[in-house]
Amino acid sequence: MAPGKGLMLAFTRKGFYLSLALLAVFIVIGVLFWYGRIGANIPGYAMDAMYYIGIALSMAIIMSYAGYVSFGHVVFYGVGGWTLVYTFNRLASESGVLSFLHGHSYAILVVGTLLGMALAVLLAVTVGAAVLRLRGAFFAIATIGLDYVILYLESLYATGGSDYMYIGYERFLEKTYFLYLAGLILTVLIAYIIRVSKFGYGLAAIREDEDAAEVLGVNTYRYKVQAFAIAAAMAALWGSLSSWRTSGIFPDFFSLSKSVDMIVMNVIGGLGTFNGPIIGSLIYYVIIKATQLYAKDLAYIIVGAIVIIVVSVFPEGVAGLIKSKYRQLREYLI
Amino acid sequence: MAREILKVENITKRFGGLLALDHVSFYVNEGEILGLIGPNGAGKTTMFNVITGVYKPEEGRVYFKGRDITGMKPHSIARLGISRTHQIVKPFGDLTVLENTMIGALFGPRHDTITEDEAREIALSVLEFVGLRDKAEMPARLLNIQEKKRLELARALAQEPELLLLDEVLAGLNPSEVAKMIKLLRKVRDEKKITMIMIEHVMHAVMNLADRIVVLHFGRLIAQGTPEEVATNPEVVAAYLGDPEMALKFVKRLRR
Amino acid sequence: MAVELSSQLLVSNTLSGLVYGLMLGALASGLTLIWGVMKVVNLSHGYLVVTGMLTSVIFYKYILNVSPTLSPALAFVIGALVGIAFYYSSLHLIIGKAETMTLKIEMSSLMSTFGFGILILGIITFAVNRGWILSNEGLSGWTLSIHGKTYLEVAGTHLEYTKLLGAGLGVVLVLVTELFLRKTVWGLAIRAVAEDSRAVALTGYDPVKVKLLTTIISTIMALIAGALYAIYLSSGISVGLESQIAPLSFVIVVLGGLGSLIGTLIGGLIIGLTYNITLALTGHSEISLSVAFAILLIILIVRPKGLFGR
Ligand SMILES: Nc1ncnc2c1ncn2[C@@H]1O[C@H](COP(=O)(O)OP(=O)(O)O)[C@@H](O)[C@H]1O
Ligand SMILES: [Mg+2]
Repeated sequence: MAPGKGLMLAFTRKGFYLSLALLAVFIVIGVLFWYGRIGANIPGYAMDAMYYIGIALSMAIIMSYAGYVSFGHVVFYGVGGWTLVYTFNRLASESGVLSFLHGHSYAILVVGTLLGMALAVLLAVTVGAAVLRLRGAFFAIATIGLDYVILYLESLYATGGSDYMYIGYERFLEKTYFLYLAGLILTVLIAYIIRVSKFGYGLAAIREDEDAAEVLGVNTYRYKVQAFAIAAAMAALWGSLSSWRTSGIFPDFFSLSKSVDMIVMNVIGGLGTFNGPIIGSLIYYVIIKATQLYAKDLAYIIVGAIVIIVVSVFPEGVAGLIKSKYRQLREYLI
Repeated sequence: MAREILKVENITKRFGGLLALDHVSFYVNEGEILGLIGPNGAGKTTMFNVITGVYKPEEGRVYFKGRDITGMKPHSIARLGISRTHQIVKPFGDLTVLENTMIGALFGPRHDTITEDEAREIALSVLEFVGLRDKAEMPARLLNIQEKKRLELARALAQEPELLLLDEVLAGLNPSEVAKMIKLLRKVRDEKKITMIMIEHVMHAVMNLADRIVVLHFGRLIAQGTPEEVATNPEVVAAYLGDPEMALKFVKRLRR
Repeated sequence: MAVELSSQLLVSNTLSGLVYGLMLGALASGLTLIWGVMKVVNLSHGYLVVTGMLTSVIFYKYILNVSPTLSPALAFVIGALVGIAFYYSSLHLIIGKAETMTLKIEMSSLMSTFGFGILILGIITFAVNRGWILSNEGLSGWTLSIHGKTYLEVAGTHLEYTKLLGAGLGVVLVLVTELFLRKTVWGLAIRAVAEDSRAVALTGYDPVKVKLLTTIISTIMALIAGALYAIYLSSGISVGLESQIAPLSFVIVVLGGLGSLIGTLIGGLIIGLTYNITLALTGHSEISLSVAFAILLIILIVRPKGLFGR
């Protein structure tokens, strides 16, 4: 797609309105928080929501846009979080290679995040490139295997030290809030640009029928690897941000259940749309929060039931359902 | 002297023990319509798959405009200007008819310069051309079989190919739909001047549209020539056509 | 001296690896059936196995106090019920009418079985949270001894009778199912579905019934294998085991070839041996598991149909 005018116009399309509205809400909350007009509760919820949208969109690039369900996506998230902590505690320690950064927590944060994203991309284009030769269920299973390999190796590594790696810098929730917001804006922009670009059309073709796409001139393999790498970088970004927020990483940074969260949000929202994963993650967040508050015991039962119902009764997800029920809303839900 | 746009030389393709194509050679001239016929399982679709790079032949070469394209990836071949339709239609079901067609335009020979707006324009005009303009916003999976075949054609045409491979675009259509589709193919030839190879079982259609015909039988090329020559070739008749008198009568009546 | 010691270790790990491998093969057999026949990649398989394990524990400890050796019979009954629930809740709407499995249907069924697995996890978690069962169960107080010994001694290796019983009955389970598929008309119908859903219609059977039956048999196999695994393990039975059982089952099924019951036994042996021997060499179960999955990744990429698949 030729950049420039076309791209600028793309952001004025109705499909982007929901994102604009959400970003506006998050900005308002942030500003109120910054000037001390509201307490930390609402910004906390907002950050949770941003986190869910962020990881859901990172998964969407490969799952919803290209049709490849990756149970290993959490690996990239974990790599992001892990690298950030490693950067703080080793690379930028007084004796580390980046010792000149020592003490400058935000500089380390930026460098660590970029390193994590780079590492994730590297992993995606190597291991991922092999796995992406597989299709459908075989791909899904291979990524489960990939996740377990990393999980076991990581736990082996972690038992050598402590299983909870701590970032020992002081952080300010207000600033963290705006870091999350910046991460979200970046994520949303990337996802949206991909969705409305030629690249996005190519991925959609791959999702719908990969052989037909290839014969029509889509370089399917390259597109898949690129999508995988971008998705990986985005996941690493969120891994890094959330390890900053929680001041360290737990072993569950690599646990399959995070991949599950990402997958379920995409399924609920509806595959193939830009707004679907966003809607799905908001719904999922509300469900998770509500069950945590009122029915902690039932959390898995509820999630399991929702997945079954959505997949077998509303396979097109919430966005698809709204689109087919209310045709006038179609343009808003691309 | 017509220029050769495609030449296949000694193509051999095996599936395990099965010899699907056995040293097949033929050529297509620019602007021509070549009919590719033969009984079910003769290897026609396999030949398309070899030309478009979906399968690698064990032996033989494929030349497009003099360039050896054997072993190239399907997407690279498509970008050179060879487009095809599928015998078993492969619409991008959840995408709209327009999006399907736009993808054709976006990834064709002009893939690196075309803009989305241009692609949309091309797609719309192609949809107009094949008579699907009013279905443009419909998800492709909701089309009926005749419309899906038109969509296959639209997607291929949107690529603005130099060579179009048509795999049984008439199969499964009722007689009036066949007539409409034949009209459409004529239009493609006359207005768009695209070279075509058509695999077809509907005999009067091939006999009418094709300039020359190549006949495959159990993976071997058993005859080639003008429709009249092929229709009267005893080996072809034995293999396939059944009643040459009928076929010839058809040809004569329709050509007049 | 050191050489002797390590070779003894190797022998004993090989022997116990063989027993473990047969157990693993039995654990994976239900998965190969549903995957091979119906192209349903059952992501709830591990949880079904865990259900079988807990069934055994619950009947032994909490309800009937029957010997765990009877638990396969109970697992059979419960498995049939769970299988019916599984089919109608998670599969029927997606694959019931489908004549051939497209990629989309395959992915939908993968996702719905995944949901069913989370559902089972939820039910078990619920039961644990309410204190109905313990989070780490065992068949406490139950042992199997013959002539006052609880193990068989082979080449200086102690093979516990509980393990031999679990794995042995596991092999019986696989062989009986194989016989069922080969010798009965329903078995024929099931194998016909594996070829083409439409072919079944020609045999006069209702494809939906055949799919239901396949799901039930696969579920029963998972539960019985689970009950046997409970015997094999005797203790440390928890829902957390799913995260080993499920991925190892996938490895084994892919190794053995989709739909091949005998293949799963062979795949199980390969993985059981690999696991135990790497464990002996490295001392870390994490590395053993990683090796198993590395094998999975390599096989998938090099030979997606499995070593013995068609
Ligand atoms: N991918 C494949 N694998 C194995 N056999 C194939 C494959 N594709 C085609 N064949 C076989 O090759 C032969 C030629 O098939 P095809 O080219 O589709 O024939 P047709 O002339 O009807 O288009 C048939 O016997 C078919 O079964
Ligand atoms: Mg054909």
